[in-house]
Amino acid sequence: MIERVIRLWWCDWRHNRDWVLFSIICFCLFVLALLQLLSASLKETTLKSTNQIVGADWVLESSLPAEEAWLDHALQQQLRYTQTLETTSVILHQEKTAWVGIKAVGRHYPLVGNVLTQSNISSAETPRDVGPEIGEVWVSPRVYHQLGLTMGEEVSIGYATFRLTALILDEPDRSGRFYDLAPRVMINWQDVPATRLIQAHSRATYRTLLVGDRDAWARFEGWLKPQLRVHDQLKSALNLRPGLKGALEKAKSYYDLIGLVAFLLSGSALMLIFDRYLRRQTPKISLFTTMGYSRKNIVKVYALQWLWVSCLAFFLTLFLALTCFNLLKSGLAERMWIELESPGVMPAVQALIVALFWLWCVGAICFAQVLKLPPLIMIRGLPSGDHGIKKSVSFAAIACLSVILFGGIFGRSFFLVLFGLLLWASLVFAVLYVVSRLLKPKLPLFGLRVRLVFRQWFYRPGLFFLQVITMSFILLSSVTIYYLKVELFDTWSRQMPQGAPNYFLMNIFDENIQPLRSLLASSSLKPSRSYPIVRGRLTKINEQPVLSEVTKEAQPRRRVNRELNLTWTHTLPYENHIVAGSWLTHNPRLDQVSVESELAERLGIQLGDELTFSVAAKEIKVSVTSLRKVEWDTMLPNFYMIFPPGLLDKEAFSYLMSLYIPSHSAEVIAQMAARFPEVNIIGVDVFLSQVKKIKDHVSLALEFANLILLISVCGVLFAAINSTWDERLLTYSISQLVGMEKQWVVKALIYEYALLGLASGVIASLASEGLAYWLYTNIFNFDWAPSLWLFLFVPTVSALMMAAFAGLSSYVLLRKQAYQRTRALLGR
Amino acid sequence: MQELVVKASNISKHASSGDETIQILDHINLEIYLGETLAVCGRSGSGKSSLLVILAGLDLPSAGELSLLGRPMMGITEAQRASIRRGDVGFVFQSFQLIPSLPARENVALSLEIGRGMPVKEALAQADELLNELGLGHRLYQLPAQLSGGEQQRVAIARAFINEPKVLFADEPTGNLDQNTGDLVADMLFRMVEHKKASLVLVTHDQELAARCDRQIYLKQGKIVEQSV
Repeated sequence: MIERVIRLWWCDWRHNRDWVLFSIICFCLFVLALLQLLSASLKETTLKSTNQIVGADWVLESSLPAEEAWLDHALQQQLRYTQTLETTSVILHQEKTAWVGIKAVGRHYPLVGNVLTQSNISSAETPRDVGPEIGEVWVSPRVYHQLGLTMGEEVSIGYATFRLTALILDEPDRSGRFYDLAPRVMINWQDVPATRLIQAHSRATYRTLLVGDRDAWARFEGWLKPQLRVHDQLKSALNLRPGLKGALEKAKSYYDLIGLVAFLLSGSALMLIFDRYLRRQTPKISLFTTMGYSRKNIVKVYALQWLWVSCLAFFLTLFLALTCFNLLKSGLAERMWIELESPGVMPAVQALIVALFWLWCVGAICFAQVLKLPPLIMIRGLPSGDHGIKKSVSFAAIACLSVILFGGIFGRSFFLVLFGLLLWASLVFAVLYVVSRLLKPKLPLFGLRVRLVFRQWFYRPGLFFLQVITMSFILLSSVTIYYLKVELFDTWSRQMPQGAPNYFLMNIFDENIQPLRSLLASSSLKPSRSYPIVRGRLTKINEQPVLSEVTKEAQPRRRVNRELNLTWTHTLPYENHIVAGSWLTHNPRLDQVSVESELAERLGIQLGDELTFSVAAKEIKVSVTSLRKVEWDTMLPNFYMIFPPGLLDKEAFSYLMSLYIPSHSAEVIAQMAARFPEVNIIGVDVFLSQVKKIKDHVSLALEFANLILLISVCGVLFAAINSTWDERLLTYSISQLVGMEKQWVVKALIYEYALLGLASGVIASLASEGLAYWLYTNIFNFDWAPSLWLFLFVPTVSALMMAAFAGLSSYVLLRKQAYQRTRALLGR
Repeated sequence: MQELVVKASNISKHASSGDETIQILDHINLEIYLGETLAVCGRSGSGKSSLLVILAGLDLPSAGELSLLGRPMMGITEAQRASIRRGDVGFVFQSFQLIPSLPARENVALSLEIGRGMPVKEALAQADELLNELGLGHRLYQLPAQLSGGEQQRVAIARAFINEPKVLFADEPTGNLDQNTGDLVADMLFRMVEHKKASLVLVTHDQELAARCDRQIYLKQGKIVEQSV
C-alpha cells in the first residue's frame, strides 16, 4: 500500500504538475508560519524594549519593604532582583537646602538598561550599569544648580553625609507619574539607615524590581500572590509607563491582527487550491472506482498520500520559516535599535497545525462528495454547481470548528472578529444565492456576451461564491490593515509631534507666571497653556465614602487615596474627548466636574453622580456632567478631574505647564532653577527619546510585517483568480473554435473578471466599514468616521486590477491556437 | 463547374521539441469541392487531426498555401480567419467540446449568435427546433455533463449544422461512442451533410465510416500515401 501511495504521488508530482500545487501550499504555510513567528517575536521584542526603559520585567511596589522570604524564593526561581526605596526629603549643602525626591538603590541596580549620568555639568552623558557606591550621592542638574554644588563636595541628607560623584539625568525605572516627581537624588541602599529618614510612619515607596524567565515569573507570582499584604502591588513593566502602554498595546493588537489575517488568507488559499487539486484528481478516483477499487481503499490511498504530503509540507515550511526568520533577525538587527527576540518554534508549529487541520477538514469534505458521485459522471466532469453550495456550507461549518478549537491563539477580541467575518461571509453567500436564483430564469433573455459572463455564477455557484468571498476578504483585510497602519502612525505622530514638550514645570505661583513666561520668551521658548492646580481628595461618591471601598481586590481605586491634581478650565484639553454628557461650558452651573472615563468606570461613577472632594479642609460637592476619554500617551498635562472656573480658584493654587526646550537652550533650565527655586522642573527628554525609539522600531517592524502580508495577499489573490481560470478559458476557447474572435474573447474575459472584482470590491468596502468600526472602537481605541471615498475607490481599483489580470493572462494564454488549447484543457 | 471549398497546396507542418524538429505534415496537396465528402484515414500520429485543424483554418501550416471557401488563409489575421470560419464552416469533435456551463440549447444557439449575430430569442428558437429534429427535444435544458456521449455528440452536430455551413470538419465524431450510438450519430451526420448539401472532411479510424465518403485519403508520417474514390 505504502509503495503504491508513493508511486502514485510521484507520478502526479511529475506528470500532473502536482509540484505546482504543493509549492503553492508550501508557500501559504510558509508565509503563515513566518508571520506568526514575526508577530510573536515583535510582541516579545516590544515588551523587552519597554522593560529596558522601565528597568525591570515586573515590579513589586509597596509602602513596606519586601519580605526576605519572598526575595529568597525569587532567587530560587532563578529571578534576579534589586530593591529601591523612594521618599522625599531635604538635601542640605552649607546653608542651602532643596526639597528632593530621594531614591536609594540596591545591589545590581539597574537590572535592565542604564542610569544616564554626567561626571560633570559640562561633560558628556555617560550610561552606567551601577548605582552610587556607599557614601556617594548623585543629584540632578537642577539640585546641582540650586545648591550651587561642585563635584566632590559634601551634602547632607538626614543624619548622613555624602560625597557628590555624579549628576543623574535619567534612570530606567523612573516613575511615569511626572507630577509627583521632585528633583532626583540617588544614594546607595545601604546608606538609608544612616540617614534615619525612614521611621515607622514615613511615606516611602519600596520597589522590588525583578527580571527573568516568564515561566519562572508565573511560578513565583502564583506562590507570592496569596501572601501579598494590603499595601503590596504587583505590576508589569507596561503598567509603570502609562504613557507608553496605550501605544504598545495598539501595536500588539496590530501584530495579532496581522497574524489573524495571515491565518484567514492562508486558509482561503488552501481551500481553493485543494478544491482545484481534487477536481484534477477526479478522473483518477473515478478510474479506481471503475476498476473495482473499494472506496475504503481509495480513502486510504489518498489519506496516506496526504499524510505524507502534510508531514513533508509541515517540516519543510517550518524549516524554511525558521531559517528565513533567523536571516531576517540578523539582517534587521543592524537597522533596528534592538534585536528581535526569538519566539521559539511554538508560534510557527501552532499555526501550521491549525492550517493543516483546516486543510484536512476541507479535503475530507471535498473527497466525500467526489466519492459519492457515480464513476462515469466523475470521468465526464461534475454535473452541476449544487455540490459547490453544499461544499461551501460545509467549509463554513469547518471554519467555525477551527475558530472554536483554535480561536484562543488570537485572544477573545479577535475570536469575535473571526465570528463576525464568518457571519459576514454567510450573509454574502446567502445574498448571492438568492440573487442567482432570481436571475437564473432571466438569463436566456440576454445576449451571448452577458450570458457567458454570468454563466460561471450559475454553473458552479458554490465555487463562484467562494471566489467572490475570498477575493472580497483579501480586499477587506488589505484595506483594513492599511487603514489601521495609517491611523496608528498618525496617532503616534500626533501624540509625539516634532517639538513635543520635554519638560514639565510645576508648582508655579501666580506671581511667578508672568516673569517665568518672560524668561522663556527671552530664550525664544514657547510654553504650553498653564493649568491652575489645587490638591484635593475625592472622599465620597453619592455620599458613600470612597476609602471604605478601597480594598486589595480593588487596587486600581488606590489612585483616589492619593491626592489628586484638580484643575479648572473652560477649554477642553487637547486629545480629550467627551464620551458622555456635555462639556462644562454647556452647563451654566458651578458645582460640576468632568471626570476621566477610565477612572469613572473603575469607581462606578456615572453622569449625574454627586462627588465630594476635600480641598484645603473644605468639603466641595459637585455633580458629574461629563466623562472624558483622555489620551495618556500624549505626554501633555492631563487630569482626572476638571472643574469649571470659579469654584476652586479661591483656594491656594499653583500652575503647571509643559514646554519643549531644545538641547541648545539647556542653559535656561539653570536660569529657571536659580530665579524660581520653588518651581519643580521635570525633564522627560530622555524618556521621550526612548519612547520615540520604541515607536520607530515598532513602525519599522509593522512595515515589514505588512510587506510579508502583502506577498501573502498576492499569493492568495493568484490562487483565487486561478481557481476557475481553466473553466473560463475552456468556455471561451470553444467559443473561439466556432468562430468567436480572439479580441472578443479577451474582452469577455476582461468584463467577467472586472465584474468579479467589482462585486468583491463592493462587498469588501461595505464590510471594511463595519470591521473598521468594530476594531477602532473595541480594540484600537481610535476615533471612527465612515470613509465614503472607500466605496468608490475599492470597487474601482478591484475591478481594474482584475481586468488587468484577465487581460494580461488572456493575452499570454490565447497565443496558443484555440484547438490545441481546448484539447489541453480537456486533457485530450 | 463545382465550387472549390478547400484548396491546400504543398502544405507542411513541423514542430520543434528541444533540438529536434518533428515533421507533422509533409507537402500535402488537396482539393475539396462543395458537396463532396472526404475521409482522412491513417494510424494514430500520422497527422490526420493536424491536417483537419489546418484545413479548417484553426491552425496555420509552416509552409504552403491554403484557401478556404475561395479565400486565402495565409497572411491574414486571426480575426479575419475567425470571420471566414464563423458562418460557413462547422466542426464536430471527438470529445464533443461543448461549453460545460451552457445548457444544450444555448450551446447550439451559440453558433447562430456568433456566426450570424442573430438575437438570442430567435437563435434559441431555431436551436430548439433543430434539437427536436435530432431527437433531443427533452434534453434542451440539460448541461453537457448531464447528457450521454451520443446526446452530447448530437448536440455538437446540431451546433455545427445550425448555421448551414458549406463545409463541415469532423474529427473522429464517433470515436468516443459505442457501435450503435456511433452508427446513429454517423447516419445523422451524413444525412445532415446531404440534406444541407455541404462538404464533409472526416477524420476517422473506422473503415466502414470512411467508406461512406466519396473519397478517402490515407496518411503516413504526414504524407498522403494513397487516395481512393
